[in-house]
Amino acid sequence: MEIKDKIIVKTDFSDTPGARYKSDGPNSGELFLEKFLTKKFNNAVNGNYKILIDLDGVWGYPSSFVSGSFGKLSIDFGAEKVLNHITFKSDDNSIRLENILKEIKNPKKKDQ
Amino acid sequence: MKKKKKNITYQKIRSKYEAKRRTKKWKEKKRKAIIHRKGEFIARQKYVAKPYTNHKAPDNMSFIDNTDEVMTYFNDSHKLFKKKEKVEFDIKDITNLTPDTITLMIANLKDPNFTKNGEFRGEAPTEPKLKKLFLESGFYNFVATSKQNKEKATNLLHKETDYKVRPNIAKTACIFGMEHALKTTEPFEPLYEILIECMQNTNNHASADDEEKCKWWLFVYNCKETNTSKYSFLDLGVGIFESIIVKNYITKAAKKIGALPNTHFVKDLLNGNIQSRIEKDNEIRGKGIPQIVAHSSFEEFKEFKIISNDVKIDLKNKTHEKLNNNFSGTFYYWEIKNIA
Repeated sequence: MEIKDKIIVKTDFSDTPGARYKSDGPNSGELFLEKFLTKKFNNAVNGNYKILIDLDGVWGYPSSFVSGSFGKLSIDFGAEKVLNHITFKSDDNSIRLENILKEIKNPKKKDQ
Repeated sequence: MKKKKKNITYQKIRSKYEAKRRTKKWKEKKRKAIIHRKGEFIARQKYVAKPYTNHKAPDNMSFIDNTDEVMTYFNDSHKLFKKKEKVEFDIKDITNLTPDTITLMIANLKDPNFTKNGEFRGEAPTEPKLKKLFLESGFYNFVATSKQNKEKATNLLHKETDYKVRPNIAKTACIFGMEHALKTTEPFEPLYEILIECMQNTNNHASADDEEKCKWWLFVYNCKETNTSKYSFLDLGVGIFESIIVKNYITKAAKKIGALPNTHFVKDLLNGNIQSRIEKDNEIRGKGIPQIVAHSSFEEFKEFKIISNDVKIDLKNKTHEKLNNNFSGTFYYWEIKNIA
């Protein structure tokens, strides 16, 4: 599948990803999901192409941000569909990419 | 014609009010209000004239190392405030003071629930090194008006009252400590992510009311002697263990009657197996503490401790201990140092 769209987190969104919800503070996962992720993902699904998300150059990806954005997207559309239409670039740090992929594949925490 | 009608209406209202003022009930109400105001004034005068109660601090004023003794000191201070005493925090002769204790002291003194709006005073420690630390901390920026002292603050001290999570403050705190300890301003993601998760967790563990926003404090102290940066983050909420939800009925009952100590839940907490009490998106919550735990193993973190309720957890040594006192809130403390 061809890559036809791109989100560069650092320049398109912020270099300081923040909390889970918009009500918690600026640059939240919820804001990222609403403003970029869902829209671009839906377009990619409808157009049958992939989007590239460039994760580099930011200060970090807190787990609350990741679960509030990528985790929610995965719950709403299913991990397989998300991974079919999204690909990542993370040259700075491979661990963060692993964590995001883990969140997409298993967004719900283990039961007690 | 219209004006005349308006005048009549006004006179009617006026006469009704004047009649009300002539009633026995009204006069009695006014008399009681005057007595009450007089009483309040006399009580205030008495309070102002009252001498300060000297409250001597323990020699080792390190919350992170001497947790129980320092906690007892602050708990006793709170009791004095509750008894309407004016408190003199006597830290002149202490032999050890650490940045974490300064953070705790400021947070307590700025909390009306702690001081009960009572008066307090105190002087900096006499020992030169401790005095320097005390003045540089920015303590006087928050609890006094002395211009001379205010100008001496050189460390980062932030009190959040608006949002729970402040990415810009997290970034500033990262750069502030990293420039000093790691000699770089390139992102060190574990440090940034820990700060954001500490802030986010005030939402889960700081208050019994889901909607209430809790204040948190962050203090970064750059220690020139050890080339380390010391981070203290705290909220004065209900604490992690007071806010956890236990699903299992037997465990729940045992916790309620005190048969199960808080230390019993440490392992589950660190592994992310404790259920958040916030209903919204509950199934995807609970990953913040495990992320903090995982990051604490980076070599750059020389020390990493969490104090909440009656439990102190050492993330570096993977140990925990039960405390004699209850700390109502959550305190995170860590140090970063260059590994090269």
